[in-house]
Amino acid sequence: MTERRIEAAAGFDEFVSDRGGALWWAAWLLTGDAHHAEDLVQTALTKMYGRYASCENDRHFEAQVRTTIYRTFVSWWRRKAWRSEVPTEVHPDAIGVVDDDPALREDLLRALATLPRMQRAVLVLRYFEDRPAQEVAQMLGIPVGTVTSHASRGLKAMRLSTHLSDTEVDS
Amino acid sequence: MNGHELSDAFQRILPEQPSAGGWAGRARRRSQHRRRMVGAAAVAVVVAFAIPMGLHLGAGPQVMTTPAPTATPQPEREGMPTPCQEAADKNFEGTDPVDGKLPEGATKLWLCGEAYPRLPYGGQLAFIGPQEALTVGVDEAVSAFNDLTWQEGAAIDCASSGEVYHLLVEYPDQKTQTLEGNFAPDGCQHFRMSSGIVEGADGYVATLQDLWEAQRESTDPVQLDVTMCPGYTSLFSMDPADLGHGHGCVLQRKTTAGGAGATMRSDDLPADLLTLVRDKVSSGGEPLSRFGAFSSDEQIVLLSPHNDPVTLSWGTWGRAAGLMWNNPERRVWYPDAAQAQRLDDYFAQLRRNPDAEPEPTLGPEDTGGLTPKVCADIRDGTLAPDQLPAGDRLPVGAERVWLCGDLNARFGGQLGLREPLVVDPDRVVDAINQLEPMPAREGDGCTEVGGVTYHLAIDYPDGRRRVISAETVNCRWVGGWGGRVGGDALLEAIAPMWTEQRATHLSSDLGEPRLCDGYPRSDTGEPRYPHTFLPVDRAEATSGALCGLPSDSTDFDGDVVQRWLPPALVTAIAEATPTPGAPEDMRLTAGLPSIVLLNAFGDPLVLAVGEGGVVYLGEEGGAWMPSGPLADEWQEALSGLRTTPFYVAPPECGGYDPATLTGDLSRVVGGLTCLGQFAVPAKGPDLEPAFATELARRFAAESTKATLNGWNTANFLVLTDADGKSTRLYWNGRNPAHLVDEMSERSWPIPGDVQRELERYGFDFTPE
Repeated sequence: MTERRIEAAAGFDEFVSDRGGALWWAAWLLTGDAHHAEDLVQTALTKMYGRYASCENDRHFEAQVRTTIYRTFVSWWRRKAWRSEVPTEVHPDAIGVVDDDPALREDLLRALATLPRMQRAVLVLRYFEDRPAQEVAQMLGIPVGTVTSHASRGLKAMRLSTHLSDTEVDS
Repeated sequence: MNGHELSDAFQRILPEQPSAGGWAGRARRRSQHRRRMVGAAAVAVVVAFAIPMGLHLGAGPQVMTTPAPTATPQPEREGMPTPCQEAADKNFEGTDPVDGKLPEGATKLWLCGEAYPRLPYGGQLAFIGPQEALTVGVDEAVSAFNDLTWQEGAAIDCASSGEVYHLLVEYPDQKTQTLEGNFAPDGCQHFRMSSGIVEGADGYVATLQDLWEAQRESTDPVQLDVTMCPGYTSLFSMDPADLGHGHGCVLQRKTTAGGAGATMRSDDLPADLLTLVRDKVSSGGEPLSRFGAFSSDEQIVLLSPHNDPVTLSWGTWGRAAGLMWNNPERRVWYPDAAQAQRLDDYFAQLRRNPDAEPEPTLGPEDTGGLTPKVCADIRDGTLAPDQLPAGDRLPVGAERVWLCGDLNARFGGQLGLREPLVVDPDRVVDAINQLEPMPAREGDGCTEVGGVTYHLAIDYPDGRRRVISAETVNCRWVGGWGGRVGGDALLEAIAPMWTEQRATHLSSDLGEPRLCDGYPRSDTGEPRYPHTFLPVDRAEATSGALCGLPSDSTDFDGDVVQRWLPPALVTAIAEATPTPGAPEDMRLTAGLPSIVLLNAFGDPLVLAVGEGGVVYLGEEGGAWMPSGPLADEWQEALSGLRTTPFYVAPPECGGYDPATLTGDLSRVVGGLTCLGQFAVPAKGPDLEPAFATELARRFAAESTKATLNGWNTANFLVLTDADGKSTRLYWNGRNPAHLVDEMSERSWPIPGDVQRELERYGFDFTPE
């Protein structure tokens, strides 16, 4: 029993070290804030920690953690005072920036912040994680048609957003 | 923006990933703490957490089964020594000592409890170390630790979980070593590190207690500046004879917007109760199972001269009401009837604090509805907005600020907020004064339509009132043309002030306002109901009404009926999730009822009701049908109201069924047009067969795969192939005009010649 626990503990540590950052990206797009994103990832990891040993592999575990991130965001965040906040600008000295486009970053985060949580989750899953509608529906526990509807409405809202009206978004 | 553009934009804005160092350990600890809480107090935790509690006062409700460490000290940690608070804020993070051994030369040691935000009823769940650091005998404490057994790479699986405590070991070079200990019973006490464990820690805290007591023989007690309420319990095993003073503490729960909150009230313990309780603690009481509720809302906190606490919780534990404590183990004393009455009277008196101010409530000036009088006056022109030139500043010293919506319902709604901002309203004044002047735009005009306009009415103690209007789009002016710019940013900045205020200020009684009439109707005369331009959470609805036309109505001209919904239905709608099988897409709802939900502050949320009484759940999507007894209540509420739409699409243009849209564009032989407005199509002219065939051919050849961002469901073509199967091509609803095929997810920018031809058939490509 002791030996198995050591393997599971080490494996979990390694998973978090390898994949924590990628999970954080999704959380950051959802919440628009670095600290909130870390808290969201931590919450999901805390909830899923006990299941690590029973997962077939890290990919399986990551899928469960991601599902937990999105579902927690949709259901939990509505109770937080954070929903009244707008995302703050990401200062380069707080988090390193890979591609310095601060204007687009701020505008896009502000536009995302105006969307209902479910729409935001669908847009991030569809267009950041590039997941098909069926998979998005399974992750969020909603019908496929609702995913399509949210994606459509979310894109429309982004297109009409005043935060992006002066921002050029080139393909 | 389409899907590809959004994908690209997401990739471009990603910051560097942060280091995930420490995340695994933190998740592990929090998970184990969570399991202890759930496993050891399942019943009480379910009861205690049934009502969301605003434990971080002003921070809104939280679901406490997943405690979340925060970055700043919290008021609930009052009574915890500052170094412990600061370390707790960082979740007691630190580097493990090499090989599980503390270096020599430590100069100070702190003994701390746990990191997580304290529950409002402290008690045995919340442990605390001494108020002062150990500075004498620190080397003995280090030696005693290093004498324990280090097991590298080991983890531990104790039969039962225990309480967590922390050591902060300070060195002359300002470095601090942080250790996490565990009080797991049954010989399982240990220190946990990321690379192994230190076993055999049974009795280590007792060793520390001996060292502290030796130090205390020559030091004065540390004074406590705060009253420990809710109470902690010392990590040391206390002698009841040392608990010479104490106080009572009650948790006063209250409900405000956004959830429940709490205040703690305390008072010195009367001498008779102090004597009684000390005697009973000294007598040892009875053992109590270590599983079950942790604490209650009514506590007695006994303190030693050095302010080491033992907290006793007054509640029902097992067979009767008693006082429970957990030092060194869980015990309970059951008083007789007279003693129990004495305790009840004491806590009741504590709750009746005569100095308490009445709960502040906010409400509008009387209007009989949801709209404050000042907002109604602005809307109907009685009050005109002021011009605020860029060079002028609003005076500070405001008494309150009203946030009013605009009458133009097309762009977001009519209502602002029902209550004024009374908490530091000068923040709004400052925000306006700090806006940039509007740039000069010669020959450039901004229209005043296209987005949300709102109005701020600022009241001063001398009776003055300033009305400042702002728009969120176009020129985003504030204070009129030539004033300031930034109406969108201003709204984003000030809206949260009301949210914050709502955490501590209740709303006045809403009564039963008129919801179903008095608001501008649509272009077609359809009734419209109150909206607000601020987000409203369906889950927070506390009341609601059904607004509908009588069942014998044939048009929109009649009076709308308003029926208040029973609380059970309101709750069900607020908590509803989509019903499997219910229509996901909103069907035609013209002439059908609407539900107007209100939250505790009178913010409305309108939900459409579809044919047969299905409830569309708004922006989140999905539809819901009540079941069981609620279904009967719902049908009763709908009785006598129209539940079928006025408009029914003709067969050729209605009856949308994807399964039938299997036409072959290469074999189109004819078609027809469906033309209309507001999602209501009517059959238009048939297409000339040759035109239909050519259009289908060009669509198939020239269209491309695309992410379809909606289409106009009242304006489309129905193309029929040689087998009689159909294909629908919708106008995308905007310009440049496209025809889109939902089934194949293809889109075709309509060439000019085709567009002119379609216009000849009656198409109007003006967006609605």
